[in-house]
Amino acid sequence: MKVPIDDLIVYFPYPYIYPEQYLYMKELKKTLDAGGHCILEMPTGTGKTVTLLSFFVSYRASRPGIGKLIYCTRTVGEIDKVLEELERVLAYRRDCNAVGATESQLVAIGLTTRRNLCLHPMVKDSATREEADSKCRSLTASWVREGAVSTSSDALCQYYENLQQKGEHFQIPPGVYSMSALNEFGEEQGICPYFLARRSLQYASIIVYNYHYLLDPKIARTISTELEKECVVVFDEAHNIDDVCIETMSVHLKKDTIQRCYQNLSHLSGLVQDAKQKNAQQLQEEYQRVLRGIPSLATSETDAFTAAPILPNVAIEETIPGNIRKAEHFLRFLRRILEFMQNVMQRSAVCQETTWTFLQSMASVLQTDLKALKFASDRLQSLIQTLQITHMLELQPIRTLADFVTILGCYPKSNSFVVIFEPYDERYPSIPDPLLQLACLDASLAMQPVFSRFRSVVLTSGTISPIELYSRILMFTPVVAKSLTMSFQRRNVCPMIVTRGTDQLPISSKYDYRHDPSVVRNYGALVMEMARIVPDGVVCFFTSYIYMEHMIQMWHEMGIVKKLSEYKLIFIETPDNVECTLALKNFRKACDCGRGAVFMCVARGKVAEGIDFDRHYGRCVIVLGVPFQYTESRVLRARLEFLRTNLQISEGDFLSFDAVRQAAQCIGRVIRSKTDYGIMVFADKRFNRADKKNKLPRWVIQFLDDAHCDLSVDMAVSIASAFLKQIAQPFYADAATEVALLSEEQLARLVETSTHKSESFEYSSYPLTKVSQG
Amino acid sequence: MDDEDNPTTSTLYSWEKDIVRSWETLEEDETGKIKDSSSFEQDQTRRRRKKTQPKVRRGLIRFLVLVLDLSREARDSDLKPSRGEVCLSLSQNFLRSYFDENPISQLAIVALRDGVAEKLSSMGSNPRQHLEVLKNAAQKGFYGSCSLQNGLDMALSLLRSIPSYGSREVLLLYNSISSCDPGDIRQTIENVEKEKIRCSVIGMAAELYILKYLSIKTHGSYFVCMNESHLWDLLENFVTPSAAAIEDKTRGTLVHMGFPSLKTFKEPKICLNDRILRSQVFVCPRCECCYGEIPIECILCGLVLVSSSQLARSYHHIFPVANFSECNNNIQSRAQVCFGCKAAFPRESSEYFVCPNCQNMFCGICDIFIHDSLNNCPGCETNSNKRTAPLTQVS
Repeated sequence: MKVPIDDLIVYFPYPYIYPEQYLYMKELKKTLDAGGHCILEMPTGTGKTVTLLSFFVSYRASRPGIGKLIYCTRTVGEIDKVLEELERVLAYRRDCNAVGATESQLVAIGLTTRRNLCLHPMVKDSATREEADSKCRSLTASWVREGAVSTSSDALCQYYENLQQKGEHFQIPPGVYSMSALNEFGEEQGICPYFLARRSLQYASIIVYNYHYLLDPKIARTISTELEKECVVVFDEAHNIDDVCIETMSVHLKKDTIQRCYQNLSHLSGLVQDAKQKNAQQLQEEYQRVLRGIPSLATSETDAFTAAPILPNVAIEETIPGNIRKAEHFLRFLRRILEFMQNVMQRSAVCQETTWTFLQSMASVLQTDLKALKFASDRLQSLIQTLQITHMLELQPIRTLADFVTILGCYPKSNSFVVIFEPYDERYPSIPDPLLQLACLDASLAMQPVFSRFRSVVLTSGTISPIELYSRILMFTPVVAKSLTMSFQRRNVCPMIVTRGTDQLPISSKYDYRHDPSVVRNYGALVMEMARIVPDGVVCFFTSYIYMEHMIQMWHEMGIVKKLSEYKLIFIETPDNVECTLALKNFRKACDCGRGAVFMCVARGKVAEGIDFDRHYGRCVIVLGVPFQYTESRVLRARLEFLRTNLQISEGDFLSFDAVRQAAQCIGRVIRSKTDYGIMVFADKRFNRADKKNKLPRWVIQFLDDAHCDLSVDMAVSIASAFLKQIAQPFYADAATEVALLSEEQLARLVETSTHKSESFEYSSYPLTKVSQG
Repeated sequence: MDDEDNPTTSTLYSWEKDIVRSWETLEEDETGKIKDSSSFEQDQTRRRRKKTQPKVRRGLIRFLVLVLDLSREARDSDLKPSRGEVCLSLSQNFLRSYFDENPISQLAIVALRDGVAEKLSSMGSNPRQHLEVLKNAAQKGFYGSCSLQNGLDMALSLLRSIPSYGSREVLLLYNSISSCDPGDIRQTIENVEKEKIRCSVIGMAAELYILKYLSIKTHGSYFVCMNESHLWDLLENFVTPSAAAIEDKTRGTLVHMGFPSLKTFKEPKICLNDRILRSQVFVCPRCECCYGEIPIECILCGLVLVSSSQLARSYHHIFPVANFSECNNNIQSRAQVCFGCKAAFPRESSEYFVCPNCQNMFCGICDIFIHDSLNNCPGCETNSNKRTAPLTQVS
């Protein structure tokens, strides 16, 4: 159908549109017209992706000035899903003959790591990403190619050679290239899909890749440098974007890392010695290059691995100090730093320092100029290139160390970083496990360059509430910040806040209460009763692994586990990937054959973030306790302090914001489409407080009326069973159109009436939603 | 066995029971009248009648396996006194209506209890025997888990030998929300599908994926009941034979049927069906065997023995009375009295119904009576020259 948004006609590839999709497009248009950034929340399963894509393609066709769409996703699977939707959008446009001349040249590409986009038999079966990268490098690096006798030699990758032969101007034919399509195309033409994708970034109109390609300065500087300013960037599932930002700028050093650094260093100095004897010319050339200025980044696309973790706005204009210009001097410099680090790691007390004090103590011990620190990463990279080392995997520890000191050197007086040393893990004080962290506290640091560089940045997710906190944490002013509700044909979400057990005693995962037998028993009763009345799959989220283990053990002693297993099979998430996958597979099987199952997992675990429990796999989700972060963690405390002093966000606010978004993320797992339905139980008396309740996404609050708050277990059970009976009644889809699905005429009518009233087409003013809520 | 495994849930105090929100069933309509929304029978009947399409092929000789879930969950007291008791008592009503409406059909009852399927009564058309079984079914109590697979396997074994002219159905009354099976349920469902057995389910609690899957695969239907009256409404749907779902080669099979004569003998004869001596027996016209009751399939020669009135009662399903059109616009133009009961139309109600064939007017009560019980329109019947003799064919 054609959707008119002001003066723009959007070709939407479905015969019906949800009202919220229409609103979403309107907000997008506002943002793009204004050329600013926006945050949009729209419930999962309402077709965010297709709305965004169909809008952008139409918008771009009518506004020639707009650049690429850079769509950032979190997982590889999502990349393919996005491209699939895009294909549908483009096919529909072709059917409507709405394709312009420029658009027929449209290239859309999904870029992932070499491991997924490789055809070389030796490389593609690598176990890890790093291994694949390093193997690829050993086949395609410039010096390897120069050194090879002929282009058909076995030591080279034929796919890459073929791509090289096609020349600079070879372009991939227009179309949508998902991972498999790229691989197929590469296979057909005998060329390397990974580098084909890399090169096509320059002329592709739509790029889909991982967050890190844009946010992580190490990767972004090698891959995403040539994107023009007029691009529109979309971060999908952006509710954890601040964590991603912080993670990319933080570095951890473990004892093991330090030891392997020594090995790396001796290996490198060995190589330097060798080179001195055999090929002194090479080192001399490098010295000259370093002397001239900044060590050049990789000259060839295949040589570059990762750049220094420095953000573009902290560009280095100075020349490299003399003490690290020569290779052996640089290595000696690194060794001294390493020794210093090792000394730090031998302390027995927890220690938290600002970067400045840490640098001062380092300077006094090393007796050296600290200016050199910030060049460490670049200098190391230059050295590695000069020595023509291909196996990058081995050198990972020394690169980590170099990153550590580079960041340290670049932000000497910044309060965005903190150095924390912990001799052991707080939770296991008896096991020595020294850990030196350079923790980034400021999420906006990695995000700022993206905001300033691109025309529009769209942050979107199903659960990105409360919105204003995001804009404060990331330090930007969005043009549009909106949370859209869901228009349901019927009440298919049943959120409940359970605060008491059947015996009226409060339930809470608060640290003082959580081991109380009555709390444990009441939580057990809640899970058991829900398992009794809810068909098929039930998912339980605990606040942490330790808490889960403790609870299940207590339940076992109380005989709750035995009763529970009469109703449903019990599966438990473990940190182990393989075990967890197996458990999930069997969980699905148990749901499929009607036995029913409970999945016990952890809020912040792998399951909570990436696994969908749609349809019968998750008819009920129970969040046991408020999933606060581990508040004793020093990094977290440092971050809270930073937020309080710099952004005026109080500790409690941030903690409950973070906990509630995790909880929202957990419950969002069960609703993946509008036809789906599910019960959502928040089991903690603290959820009933206004500061938590108000932070839930709007589409949950919409159904959370007073009758569903502050319940005891038995009340929750009777509400749930009534809900399940109600929702199982036959449902006639034609009743839904008008309310939650709009055809072209209905939409036109709606737009007309809203303009007549000369008020913005607000969701709340939409009369029919009342019916859906009732 | 634990104490709580005894079926004593009905002795709970009211404060121990689930919350009953009786006020929530009240609804206010647009004129401000307060209605109890649980009494929507009238609407339901009307709606159901609208769906009946005339001249649809129906399987008249039905072989139904009624599968009752009498497992642990049947003790749940959301239907009073318990789901299981309600199931059993409504099943008895269902049984009576079933044999009323389908006298030449047969039925068997299977109970699911303690993980196994138990055959309570085998395929037969004698309602008395089935009713007896249902009355006694609760005595053993409701316990253990419920296995859908065992139930289906049992139904399969009961239905496998049924001749092709019969329509094979399974009706499950499912109290549980899970199924604890010994093997691969999908394989069993596939077998059921292959045998063209239609499985319909009425759930008591919530929608269960595997049951939905089963009903879709076998072209049955799946309902979940809200309360007792709703459960009866749902059960009533299964009283009339449903339209033949699978339009396949079983079209127009002719079935031999015999009309036995009722004879009185001086010396009692032994009846073949129950081995009881009777002096008044039905005699098979082909092999002269004696039977105490009909309908029955002759044990000796395999002839289906029915009486003509029984045949006629089954037969009206093929030629239902046309739906009356509902009118409520013009009070002046309507007749003073109902054509059916000759009573004056009630004043406050402006509704009346018109038969599309004979244009006579009927009141609402007569309308329901004609369609549900009488199965003939009195107006059309008196207007004899318009009558057409329907073909005598049973499919």
